[in-house]
Amino acid sequence: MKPEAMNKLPANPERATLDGKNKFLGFWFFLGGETVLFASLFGVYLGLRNATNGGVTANELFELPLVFIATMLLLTSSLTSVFATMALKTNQFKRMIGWFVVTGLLGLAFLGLEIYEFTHYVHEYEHTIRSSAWGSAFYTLVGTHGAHVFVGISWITLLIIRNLKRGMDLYTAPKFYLFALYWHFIDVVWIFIFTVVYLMGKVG
Amino acid sequence: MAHHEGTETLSEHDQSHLDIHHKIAHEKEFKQQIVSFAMMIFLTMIAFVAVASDAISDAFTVVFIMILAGIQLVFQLYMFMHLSHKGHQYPAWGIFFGVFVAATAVIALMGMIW
Repeated sequence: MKPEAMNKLPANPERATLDGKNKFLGFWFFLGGETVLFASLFGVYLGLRNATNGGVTANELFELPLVFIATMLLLTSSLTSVFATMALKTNQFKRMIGWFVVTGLLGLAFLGLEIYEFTHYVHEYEHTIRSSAWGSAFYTLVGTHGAHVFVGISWITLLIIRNLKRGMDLYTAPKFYLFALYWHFIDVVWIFIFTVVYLMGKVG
Repeated sequence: MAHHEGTETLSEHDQSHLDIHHKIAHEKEFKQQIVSFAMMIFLTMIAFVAVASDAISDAFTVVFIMILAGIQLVFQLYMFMHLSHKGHQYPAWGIFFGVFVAATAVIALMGMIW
């Protein structure tokens, strides 16, 4: 980063241009829509959580240590993307990229754990998306979240590759800022998944 | 023209003064974020412990962990996603309208009879 560029960015570079303002507002509205998408899946899940079709139940299936580790990974990745946003606001491009790389790697670890979990359920317990109404609701809800994590990892990877040489300016700042918002949203959804699906599944 | 330029660029002294203010604000925010994160980890642990232990009744545990999740939602939105910062009135409308529709949908679907 050129030293003279250090103080050239305004305090909120992600909203300094009309383009940035529109993206910022539009993305928050998109997240409002995503909230409704996940709510419909949560509602269906809660309606079908006991429809196990005589098969394995949530209490028998879930293992809390695995869910706890996954939760810690995602919570920590939320913190690292906050660090990235702070680096963005103070115009430290390299530091921001570094924290976003850590965020992406934590997301990848989370996704690996989820894939392991799903294959474990299918092979050890023969619990599939076709086993029962609860099975369908479970894989649809948790799978949709997992797909969002995958989209997030792909998004930040492409964003870093494409803008690595460009550095920080009023064009790149909104792009990175919105990714951080998206990543926090994924974490918010996970908080409700581990509470409603896993913990409530253990309570019965 | 010269006058115009003078109003736009800050003197070196003013600029360094401004930088110090920014630095203090960022350090304060950094501390708040760390505290928020520690709180979220703590709340998560309490939720897991509440479920793992048999000391608490099931009905109470469900209500309790839902409240903990609600608190974590507020931390994420206001601390990590900066909803408390200036210029977030319309985003707040957008997300809370979504939350309102979401809550309605969850209540309606939960009550469906299978």
